[in-house]
Amino acid sequence: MRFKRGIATRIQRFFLGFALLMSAVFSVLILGYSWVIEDNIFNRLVEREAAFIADQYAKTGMVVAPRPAFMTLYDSWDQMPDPIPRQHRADPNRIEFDDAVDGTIHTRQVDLGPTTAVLAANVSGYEVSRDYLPTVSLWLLLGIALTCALAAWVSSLVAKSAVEPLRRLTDAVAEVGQRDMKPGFARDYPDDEVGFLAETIEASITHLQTVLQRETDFTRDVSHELRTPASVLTLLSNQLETDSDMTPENRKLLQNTVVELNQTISTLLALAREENMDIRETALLPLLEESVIHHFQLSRNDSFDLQIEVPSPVKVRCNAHLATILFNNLLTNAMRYASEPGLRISADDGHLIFENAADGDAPRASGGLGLGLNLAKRVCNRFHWTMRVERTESVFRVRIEFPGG
Amino acid sequence: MQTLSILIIEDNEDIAARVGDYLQGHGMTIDFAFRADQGIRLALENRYDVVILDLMLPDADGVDVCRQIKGDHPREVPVLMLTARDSLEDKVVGFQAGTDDYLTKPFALEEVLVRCQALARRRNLHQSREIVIGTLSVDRHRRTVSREGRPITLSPTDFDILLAMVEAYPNAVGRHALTQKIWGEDHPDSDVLRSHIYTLRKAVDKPFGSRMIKTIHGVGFRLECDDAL
Repeated sequence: MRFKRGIATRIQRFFLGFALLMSAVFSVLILGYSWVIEDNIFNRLVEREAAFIADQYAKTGMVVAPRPAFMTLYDSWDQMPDPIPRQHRADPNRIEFDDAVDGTIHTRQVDLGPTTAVLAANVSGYEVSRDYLPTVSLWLLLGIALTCALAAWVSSLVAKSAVEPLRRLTDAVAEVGQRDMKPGFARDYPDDEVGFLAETIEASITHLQTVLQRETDFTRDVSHELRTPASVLTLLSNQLETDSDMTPENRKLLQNTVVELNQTISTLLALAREENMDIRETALLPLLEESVIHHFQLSRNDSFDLQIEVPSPVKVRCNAHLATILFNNLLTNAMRYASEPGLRISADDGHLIFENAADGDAPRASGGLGLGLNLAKRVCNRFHWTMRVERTESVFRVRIEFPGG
Repeated sequence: MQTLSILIIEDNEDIAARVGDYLQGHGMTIDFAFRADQGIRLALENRYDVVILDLMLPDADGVDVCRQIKGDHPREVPVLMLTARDSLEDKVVGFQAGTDDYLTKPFALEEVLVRCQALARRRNLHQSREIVIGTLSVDRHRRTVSREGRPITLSPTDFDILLAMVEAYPNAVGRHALTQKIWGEDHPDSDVLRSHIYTLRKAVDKPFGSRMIKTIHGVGFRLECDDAL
């Protein structure tokens, strides 16, 4: 499994960035250090010569000329070339001046009894650091490049060795679902944080697989154990339709109860199954059409007036199987409980509405839904739909609201 | 109505008896088997039009029984699996074993009857290129239609619409599914389909005594015929 911003890539980038930053900082420090050393040498030379001139004056009362040719003694700051006097007035402690014409000047005041002279050294001709700057910069850049290349190589090795167990673990976890995780797979990992993670993941997935298997076995067993007697009950209730001494009310009550029992079994099992967690965008109209077509009684009942007014572009997010069970139950209920044989299904402004005629005096079980409001709402909740039941004197309406509708 | 010969392999005698009685009441010949070995033996020794097989039998798994019947049978016999298991995995395993149709318990007896008729009809379809539903006859290869022996001339689109209904029979075909099948994604508005259904009815229903093309309001269309298989 590959990620756009994987841990290995991030480690490499961090390592490389750090190496680049450190190389650049040290290069700047090297250049700065050379400038400082050079300046200090010049300052010391000027300081010594100033001390020599002052000493000679003290001994002889004579002002001697500076010995090095690149030094000049001025009577005062004002006699120095522009713009040095002005710069000195602005900053009296300054001793180094850059003159565009004369180059770099280092200065030192010389105490000559009643007056103070200024010793100036034009060091432009001796600034080797400036002369060597292009060459040194080139070498420094080469050094940076080499350091970065080395850092990239080392970081690649470090990232690989650090992330490899994690990557194997990621691949193993990604494969779960495609096939079962082999037992004891965590043993292949080192005894460190990754190993601990692998053990925890293995324990969690094993637990999850056990739970899923238990769910599958449970729903399968429940399905068999409940559906088989429910089948017998359904067949018997159908038989009672023709040959029984039951009153019509009791017969209807029995049939409705059997239908509700069947709906409840189907819905509960469908809700319990992991396979029905797969929710995707689905066109609503074909889903409704399929529900009606595969509704055995409804598709063969000519007297039932069914109207579907759902625009074909309407799409909803749901699990098709679970949604079909919900629609199937709503269709069955409308067939069984409507006071007139008919149902209008319409979609309007983010709502799906099931509407049928109702007898105002006859209350419907479970708040109007055969499988019970609770289960219908549970199905709707699974898709983040909201279901409301509305009832007037003559109309029974189930309104399902889709998110964002 | 053609008499179908049906074998019911079901360990629950209450269910088997009621299904058998109902199908017998509709003119079908029924054999029963309450155990897998008995069912396999009967299925292989006799010529049944449909085998109704329960998925969970006391002495074997219905899927294995289906596999044996399908694998060893000299002529293809359709199998309708009756099951109390309805998970996706169970259905996939069932179809992989060669089941032709699946009916989840509890079921309506009429649905068992219709499914048996559809399976028997489907087997006949494989054996001949002509599909016959009652008095209607459709030749898929020659793209010809006749009713009561009289040829009917249809436009290519009308023929495709009729063929979709014939193939879906005895189920209905949804309006949306029909337009998708005929025109694909760029389907026209519903008036065009309505206009084709009108011309189709004019050709297939109007000159004859009874109407075969039935509208399921708001949903789609279905062929209807009392004496069809």
